Amino acid sequence: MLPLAGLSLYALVEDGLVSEVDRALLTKVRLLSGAVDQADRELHLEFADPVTRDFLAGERGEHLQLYTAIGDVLYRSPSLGDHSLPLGAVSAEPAHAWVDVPEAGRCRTVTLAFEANVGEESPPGTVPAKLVLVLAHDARDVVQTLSTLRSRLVIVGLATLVVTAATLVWVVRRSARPLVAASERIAMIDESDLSIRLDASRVPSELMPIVKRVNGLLARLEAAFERERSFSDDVAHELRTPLAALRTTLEVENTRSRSPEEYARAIEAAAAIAVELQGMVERLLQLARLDAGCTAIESVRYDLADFAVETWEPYATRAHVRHLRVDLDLQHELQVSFDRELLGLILRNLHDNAVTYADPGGHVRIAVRSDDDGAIHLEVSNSGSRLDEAQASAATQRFWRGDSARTDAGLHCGLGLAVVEKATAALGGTLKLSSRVAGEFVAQVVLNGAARNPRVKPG
Amino acid sequence: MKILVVEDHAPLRGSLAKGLREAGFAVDLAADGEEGLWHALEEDYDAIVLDLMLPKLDGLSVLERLRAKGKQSHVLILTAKDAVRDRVRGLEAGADDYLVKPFAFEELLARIRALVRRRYAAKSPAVRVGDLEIDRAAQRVRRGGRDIELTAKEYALLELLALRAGEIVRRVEIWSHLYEFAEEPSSNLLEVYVAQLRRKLEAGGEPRMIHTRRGVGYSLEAMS
Repeated sequence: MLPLAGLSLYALVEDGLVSEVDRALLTKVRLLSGAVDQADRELHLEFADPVTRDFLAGERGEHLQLYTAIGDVLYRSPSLGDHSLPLGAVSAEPAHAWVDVPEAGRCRTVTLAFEANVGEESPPGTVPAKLVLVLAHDARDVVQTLSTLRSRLVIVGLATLVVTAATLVWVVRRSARPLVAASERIAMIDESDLSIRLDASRVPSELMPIVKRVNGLLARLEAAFERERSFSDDVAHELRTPLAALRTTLEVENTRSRSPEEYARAIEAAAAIAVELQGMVERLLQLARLDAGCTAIESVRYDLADFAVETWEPYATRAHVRHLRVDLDLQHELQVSFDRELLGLILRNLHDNAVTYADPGGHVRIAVRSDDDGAIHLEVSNSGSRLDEAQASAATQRFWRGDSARTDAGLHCGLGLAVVEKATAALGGTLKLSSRVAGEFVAQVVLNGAARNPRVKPG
Repeated sequence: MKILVVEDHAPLRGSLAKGLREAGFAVDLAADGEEGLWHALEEDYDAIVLDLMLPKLDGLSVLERLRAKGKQSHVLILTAKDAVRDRVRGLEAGADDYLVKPFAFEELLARIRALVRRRYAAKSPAVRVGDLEIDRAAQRVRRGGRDIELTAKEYALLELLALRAGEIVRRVEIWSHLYEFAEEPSSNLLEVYVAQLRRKLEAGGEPRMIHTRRGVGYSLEAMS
């Protein structure tokens, strides 16, 4: 913009100055053309007399040359010496041009074609001579003025450019300061401290949405890291504690010689802890697999009631030892094609839960049915629950341990229902838990038809 | 010496109780934070073994409430939390020691004994009263160079009296240090232990060290 403005200004001034010179030249050339008289075939040039010549030439810096229409020189002002003013293309209209005149320098010229004034004393029918007058004006002062203007415009332009650039840099740096501060704060963030937030009050309003989004992202990251850390702590706790129990049991038993019965009891206790550890590791692996994104694979069709009985069998002995009554309420001929592994995971965890937490001498109920919409309902419940409704709904949290029932059962592993929830979700179903203290704990899984599984493996 | 173990994992709780009892400690057990806090406020334990992740009330809260009530029992935190920040938090909350699971039972025992020594301001595991020497680390007793075989309860009784040698130890104190919460006090049983202990200590014809303070308790003194 700045060069354009300078060029425009320069053109305006140049045009003004040159136009003024041209106007003066034109006035003068018309005046001079009127000073050529013709008497018959003779031309009388008034400007050739000494007074006019002095007026025109030398110190005033003006020069003239008169041509005939065919280019013969009729007169040349003495100021030109041996030089000539060039005769350009002649037209009816006066034409201006720039000419370099030796010793006089750069001149502005005007070329005017005209006819000589035929005097009254000339015989009738005298044809006026066609002439061309070239008048030059020494324009060194105009050229000098324009040159000075050019230089100043360049200097002012450059200075303005430098100042503008400096101002621009300053303004950019100043407005980028909050961004720099924000970037420095972002650089301070690592996984050990995600509590840092960007200061929204110190950034321009244009950047506010970005700062808010970044702070929101940081908050989500912090929560995710906290969950992860908490989960790692829980895993460590859940694995270290039975390991400690196993080691302590073996070390204490080994401090002295004992009877075979005592050793048998110790081996039994150690085996029970090993089973607990195994169950925990298996559930952790199941959860890890489910977390990694499990894809349900449709199986060949099978009978759901038969499958429920098949998955129950490993728990029947424990139920018998605990004197539990087992009620099977199974709708037969219910063919499904849900992923067998995932459905097995759900049922086995629910069976284990029910057998473990049912009150001694209580009962376990396993029910399977379909409703009018074709949805499959799996229900595993047990008596003697110690959980209220709120506690039951929290029981799918990993390592949830708000219930004394688990403690009393000597178990820590709050993972079974978390696995059930994940596996149910992988099958596109829902898990609902309900309970009342001293009443029933009910786990209900609803699956919306086997055909809805996302991937079909050819049977 | 009497220990409280607050641990929610039943098999670990059972093994700890068995090992500590066999080492001569009276042991009370609690399966959750609330129960643990109740015991700790009710009794004057020589040491408390406290888990951190407990149902109902977490271990740190138990510890803080205990200290807020002015209870100065020595506390050893026994936990699976091994991060430095967890140890710092535990010690700042008033714990005296910190042991991460899994652990060697011998190490736990050594640390509990160190805490008990701190309670009785005894820097050395060896206690000497006259010609009686008690090596508390090895639980060995000698008198005049003669080894004396004691049962766990006899040893615990002698150790308590020796740690407070010259003082009268009240019968109720002896009960609370030797017997567990659920056991009924029986003055007759205590006298039986005292008699057995005297017999073993004086088997070489040495002078009596355990003296009866009628209606109050017992004291251990080396008579010149």
